[in-house]
Amino acid sequence: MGLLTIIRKVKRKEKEMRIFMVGLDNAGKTTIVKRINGEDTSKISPTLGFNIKTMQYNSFRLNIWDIGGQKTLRSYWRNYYEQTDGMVWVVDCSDFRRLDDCRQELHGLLKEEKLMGASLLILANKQDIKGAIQPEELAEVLQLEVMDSSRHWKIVACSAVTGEGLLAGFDWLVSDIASRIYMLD
Amino acid sequence: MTTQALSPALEKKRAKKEERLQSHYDTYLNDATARRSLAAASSDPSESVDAFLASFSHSRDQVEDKLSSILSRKASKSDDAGVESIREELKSLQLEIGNMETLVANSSFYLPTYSIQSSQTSILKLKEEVEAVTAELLPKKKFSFRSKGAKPAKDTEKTKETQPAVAVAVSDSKPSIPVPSFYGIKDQHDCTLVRYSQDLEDREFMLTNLTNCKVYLKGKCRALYVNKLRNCQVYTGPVTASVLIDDVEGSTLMLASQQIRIHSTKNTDFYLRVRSRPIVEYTSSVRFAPYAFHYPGIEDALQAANLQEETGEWENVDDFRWLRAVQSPNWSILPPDERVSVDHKDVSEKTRKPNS
Repeated sequence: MGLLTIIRKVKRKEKEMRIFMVGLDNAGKTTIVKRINGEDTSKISPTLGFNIKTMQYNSFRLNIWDIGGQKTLRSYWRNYYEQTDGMVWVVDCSDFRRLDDCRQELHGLLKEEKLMGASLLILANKQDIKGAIQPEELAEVLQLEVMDSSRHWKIVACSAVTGEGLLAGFDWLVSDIASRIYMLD
Repeated sequence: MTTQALSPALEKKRAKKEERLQSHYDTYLNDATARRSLAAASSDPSESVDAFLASFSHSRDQVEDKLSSILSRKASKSDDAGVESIREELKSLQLEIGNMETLVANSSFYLPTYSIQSSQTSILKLKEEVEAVTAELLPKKKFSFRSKGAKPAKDTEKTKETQPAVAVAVSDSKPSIPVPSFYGIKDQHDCTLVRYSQDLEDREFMLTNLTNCKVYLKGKCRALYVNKLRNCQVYTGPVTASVLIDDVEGSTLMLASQQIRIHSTKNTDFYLRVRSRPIVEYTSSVRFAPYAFHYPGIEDALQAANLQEETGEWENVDDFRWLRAVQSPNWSILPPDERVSVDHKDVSEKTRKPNS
């Protein structure tokens, strides 16, 4: 009990959350982070490595680890699993061709022991594009029902370009993590 | 003098004393032997660990032998004594096992813990074996209550159990991905294809499985996915979000976009105008040059997509498979005298020198 209590106390004092943000390349992860932080999103290069963004969200400090999604980088994802409170999986809903790929990578992550306790927010991005897959369909394609009872998760439609849905998603994630970590005594 | 005078009396005393000691010793000896013999008599000969183990293993072997003989007789069907005799024998085996249990229980106060546990486990094993043989050889025909409600309940439980298994099985195979709106050009060869802004509709556009084709996209689209091209020329207007290219060989692509990702591509020339650093991955022998596509109205389209100015990012290529300071061997800059410029006004291409 000792160590866990200490960790909880430290975290509660700082009110910090570590959020791990992944997805296939071209999903819009960096654009989402920049958008919620109110930065320019027109000159974003594909992420080589990772970006860490620390931002104040309500009364919490979010450390968002935005990890590059290129195929070459996916094997490095596991270096970032440690102490993750919340996980954001970003999906390019206009890219039908790689939904299969997307599902496999996601299910690989769900099996990771270090991510077992993390809340999962799935952002169905690029809803501004005509013909984008709807979140209900996406949930089916990604076979999210498999983890129904074992994890806190939610799927939210969003657009990094218009900013729609981003706040709703992060609101849910932050309040879910908060209810797990900070209100538990 | 006095000693001599006293000596007969003393002598007597000493003799008496010695006699008394002797008798004490004798009674002590007698008592000891008596006690020893008493103890020997009272101790049960079976009250020794060795004796217990011997008798236990003997009865265990007997039970096992009988079991195997029953089984073999049943298997060979040489014995037609029938079910009844087998039932009798099995009953006697169960009795025997019961006796073994009481033996262990009675001996438990002097047995070491290990022996108690091991004998209990072997009894358990024997019981299970007997039960298994009983179940196998003597089918139950006895009456039992069966509620009708229980069966459907069991069925639903079964389906519940199998459903996740099905889901897992599905996840191994390819699920049916709904492709409600394929939008683009696919499965073409040896042709020239032109799409105008009203076709592009400001949405995502896909080019897939094309061979020996010329493709002109004269308008603005939202996102572009390029997949499986062989020996093609592709010239596009501005793409407002991103371009994703996968599996292209021996082609020329002219693209303007905010982000460009190039995967698994070989021997291809790219003419780019891009607002961020283009990237390549699993790619070799690709060359880069600045964008040079013209058609009437492209300036407005580029303006609308915020791509009107050349930022020079086309040459800042990141190779994700070459994370070193030295130039990646997988890509190079296309020499200026080999570059082309395409003007689709008259669907004609002309090669020209830059600055001329």
